[in-house]
Amino acid sequence: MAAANLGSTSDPRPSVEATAEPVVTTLARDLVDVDNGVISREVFMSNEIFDMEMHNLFPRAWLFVGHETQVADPGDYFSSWMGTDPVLLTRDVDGEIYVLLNSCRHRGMKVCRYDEGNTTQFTCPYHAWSYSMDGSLVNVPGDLFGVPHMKAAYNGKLDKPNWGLVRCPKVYNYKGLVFANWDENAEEFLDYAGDFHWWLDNLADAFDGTPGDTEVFHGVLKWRIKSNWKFVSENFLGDTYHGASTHASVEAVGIGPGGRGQRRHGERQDQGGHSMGRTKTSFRNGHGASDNIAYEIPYPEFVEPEMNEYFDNAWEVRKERLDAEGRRLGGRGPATLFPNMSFAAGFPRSILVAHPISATETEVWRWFLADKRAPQYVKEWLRQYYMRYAGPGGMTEQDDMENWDYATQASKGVVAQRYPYNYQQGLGTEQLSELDRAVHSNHAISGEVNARAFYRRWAEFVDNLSWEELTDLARSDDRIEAIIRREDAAAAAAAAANESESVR
Amino acid sequence: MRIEATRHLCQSYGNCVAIDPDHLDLDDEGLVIVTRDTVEDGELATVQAGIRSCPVNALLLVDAHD
Repeated sequence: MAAANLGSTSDPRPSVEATAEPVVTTLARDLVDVDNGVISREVFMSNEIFDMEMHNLFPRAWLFVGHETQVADPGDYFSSWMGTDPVLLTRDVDGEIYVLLNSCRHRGMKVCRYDEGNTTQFTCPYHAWSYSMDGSLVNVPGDLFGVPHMKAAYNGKLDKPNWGLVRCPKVYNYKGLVFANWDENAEEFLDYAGDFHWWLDNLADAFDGTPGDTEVFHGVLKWRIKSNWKFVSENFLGDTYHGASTHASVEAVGIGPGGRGQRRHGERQDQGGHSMGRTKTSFRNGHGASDNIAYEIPYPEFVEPEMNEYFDNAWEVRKERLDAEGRRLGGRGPATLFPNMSFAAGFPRSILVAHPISATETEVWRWFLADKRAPQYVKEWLRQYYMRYAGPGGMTEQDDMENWDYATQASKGVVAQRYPYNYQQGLGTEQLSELDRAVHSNHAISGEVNARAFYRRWAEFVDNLSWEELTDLARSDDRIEAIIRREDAAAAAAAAANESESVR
Repeated sequence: MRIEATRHLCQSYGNCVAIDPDHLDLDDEGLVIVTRDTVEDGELATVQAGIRSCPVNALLLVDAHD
């Protein structure tokens, strides 16, 4: 058990490592057998596993905190979560973005209980310790600015610079998407994302390809579901297998751009989810997408002519721009950045974060994006489409929540937990990828290669492997070697067959 | 220019006294008192910093003729 750091509070601030590690009786890797495609239900139901996730995964992974347009001006803040820790995404008077633990250093009270707002000072409601976001008043935004009765209570000797709000040491703004990591030894964000960045680009860039020219709609949809957070991550990671059955009813309604009789994502005819060009992409470091960057489908055909005008033009501009850059046009997801940021970069264009509450409860947050420069009628059309698609009242999301809820109910029984889940789809049929340390499924709908890679990476984090080990394990992708061996063997067998044929 | 304190707002943070001891102090109860309310030439920046340092806005700089 690591000793809590109670002494010196010199930087880096101690709270990051001030929690006790759990007593390890279970190893995550013993519950995940990716070679045989078998994963224990305990991964999703066990409180012990949940504790291990909170200690070993969430404080070391890059987590999505919010969008920079939510803190556009100096003094703006947005309340978010990183795992089970509440944080404040802030912008100081110099325009810099910070991520601070939303917990007073005196008794832990939330210093800010609003969802968002503008202030240059957070004064704790409990005993009024005051923290400033104004760098001209304190050394670094988030530092302790003052405490009541400073002289009488502390004889004027409280070491204010060392009792500021805990600052997240690693924050990365990727084209407006703000990610943070509590572990100062963690790999850099761009290394962590790797070639998965193509999907983040499509999420963050405008529909005409202008880099980072998107904003989020005001307000984040937030709701709770009675299931494990990984059901959510896995669903968007590359589970296209559930679509036809789970979403049959919403397809019948016709909530998409094309209206009645058209798909909810708005693919034009013959470009639907069953296209064989839509193989999934799985990364060694756990990220996954339901498609690949070569899977190029134009924007939907809308019922409204003015919508077609906007999106046809956007597609032309994007195609020209990306072709000039030699960049592929595909990669719109749905996808999941390991561990809990899921998104789709097309129709809808939305970010989902599955905040863990307990082994069997998750708080889901959804952000919706639009082009900054889109005309108001386009934004309004998208807003209404997003709401009928996603969120607690969204028709597609309701379908998914039913599954996760009832799967949890039916999996947490003592007997049920004795029987693992099946992840054998497409075992040994993976395909090579042009992307770094990635492979593809060999089919658009079937293939659980993405989930197998996700849970392998998950176990490596949850078992608390060091960053050296984590980096080392993901330095190469052994699945690529397996594919090459398989293809070589098949080629050799074919050559041998040919030879025996010609001998005859 | 004159410094004014709204004493019932004061929570004895003491920030202001640390920054501007020439004008401000805490009394026996720990509440702010203005020891000299006039602002001489060259003092304005310090006075303003002291006022701005109050987390509960108990200090004001007002026009002398008010």
